[in-house]
Amino acid sequence: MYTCADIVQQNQQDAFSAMFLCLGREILALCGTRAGEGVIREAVRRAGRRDGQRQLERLRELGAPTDLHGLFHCGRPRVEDPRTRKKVLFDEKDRQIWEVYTCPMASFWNRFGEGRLGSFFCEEYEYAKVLAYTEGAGQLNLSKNLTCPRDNFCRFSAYFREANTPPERAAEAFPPSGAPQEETPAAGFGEGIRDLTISVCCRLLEAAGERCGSEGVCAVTEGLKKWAAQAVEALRTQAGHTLRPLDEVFVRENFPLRAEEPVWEENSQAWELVNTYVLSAIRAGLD
Amino acid sequence: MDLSDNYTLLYSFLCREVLDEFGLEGERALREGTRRYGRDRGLASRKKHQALGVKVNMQSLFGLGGDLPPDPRFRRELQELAPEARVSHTLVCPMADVWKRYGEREIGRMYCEEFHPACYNGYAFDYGHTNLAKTLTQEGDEYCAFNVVLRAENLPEDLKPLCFAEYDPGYVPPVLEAVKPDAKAGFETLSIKIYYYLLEAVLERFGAAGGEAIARGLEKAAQDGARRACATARAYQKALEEAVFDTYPLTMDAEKPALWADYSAHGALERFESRFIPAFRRALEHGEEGQ
Repeated sequence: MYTCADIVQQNQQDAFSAMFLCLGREILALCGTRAGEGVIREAVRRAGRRDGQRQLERLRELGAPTDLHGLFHCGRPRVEDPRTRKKVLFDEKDRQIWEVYTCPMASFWNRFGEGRLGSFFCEEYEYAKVLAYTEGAGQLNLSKNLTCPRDNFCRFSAYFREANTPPERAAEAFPPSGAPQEETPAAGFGEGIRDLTISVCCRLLEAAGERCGSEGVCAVTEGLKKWAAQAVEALRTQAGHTLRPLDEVFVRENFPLRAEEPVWEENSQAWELVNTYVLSAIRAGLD
Repeated sequence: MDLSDNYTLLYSFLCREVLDEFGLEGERALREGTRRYGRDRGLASRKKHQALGVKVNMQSLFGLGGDLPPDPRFRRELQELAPEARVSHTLVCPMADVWKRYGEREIGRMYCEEFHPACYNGYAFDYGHTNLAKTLTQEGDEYCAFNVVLRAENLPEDLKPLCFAEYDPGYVPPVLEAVKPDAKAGFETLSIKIYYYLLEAVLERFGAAGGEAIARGLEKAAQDGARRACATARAYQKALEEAVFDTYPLTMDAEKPALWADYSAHGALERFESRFIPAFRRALEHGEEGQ
């Protein structure tokens, strides 16, 4: 049984999963299955790269070691949805191995028969993130994943070996043992999922436009319309289930984006489209 | 099986000497050498496949019979073999087993981490992605889980027709006969290459001291190989020279395979002849008990 605090996180997570699904489907349908796959993979890589770079910058500002423990456990931009069930097998500076037995994103995509679309995210995101964070010296392996019908768990292993790292980076990532490092606080769930949603949405639009021109932009726009319809229905259901009015407070707590989002610096065109098609629909649906 | 074990142990004997002498910096050189070795094999396979007229993809890489000769102890469970992906479990790996038996699981770990991505990704124009999240050289893992992919839509346009038939209208796949690699020649090729690239990387970093560490590794590999040959000769009632030929991948006669010409820089062949062969011959005189 989940608490109300758990449920709002799950709703935000599912909204992200729905965004990826809706936009991904339209990109594949309108840009073509081949070109569309290329767009989606590239967009997810860019989002992963950005997250890896930002985590590196964050840890450098904090003066924390920029090892693999830092990437996955320190001051993380996002914490997991409470439905995630995983086991960390190795949590070391140069080796991180973990298995995921329940993943809300995979569950969402599989439920809608879009495991293959979801696999684009799984294959590209963490890989790009680790490579960006380790500046090309690390390795990310994902041998099994829950978006594949054969697999019943995800198995990740990441390596960042001091022997593969240039000396300057090694000194920063693997300093000689000293006083134990304090755990840096993670960002709140809401902030993290909002950041991921904006990042992936912007990059899908960016990649679709670059590779498919106006057809790509149209595909993303059609995806946003589909997401808007899904989001309004989902929010209404969620509000009903929790005996709450569907108001701005509810949206802020249960949706990764605010009803009145400030302009996104990273891609104002994406903000414009999201505001026009998604947020306005949500605003119109408020009690 | 002896050929496979001797090839596998050549790697760990060479690495052990370098690690003991140079520590972390030695590991740096060894990882680089292992990557170069993997890349060489990947590029060689790609060249061969392109000459055969097959597409450069996962189905070709893993379906056409690679350059690693088969070992009857090897057990694999193949889950998928398609142009974009090869998914498999390795349930028994004689390389992992022999490294563990010799207490060199960590060296085997290093090999698995560096060789596979270098080889498979190198084969695929550096657009492949090798996922090896479980390995028999990792503590707690009961099998190797490979998921090696080359996604067509991650390739630039000019490479798509080279890799996938559906991007090459009019392509007709050639009819090929499966060729089983010769065990002796195959393991000899791999042994020459692995020795060469480890030597090259170690010499670049440590100069003569590195070369000496490699030479000590050659001597230890020679002693171990000689003991194995003696044991095989006794077990199968073979003449000793016949057992040596059958069990050790590297030819010790005056007439060496032509491949050495491509891998003789850095004094590789001279070092092999002056350090490995005499050590092997001396060890043969001592038989299975060793020195």
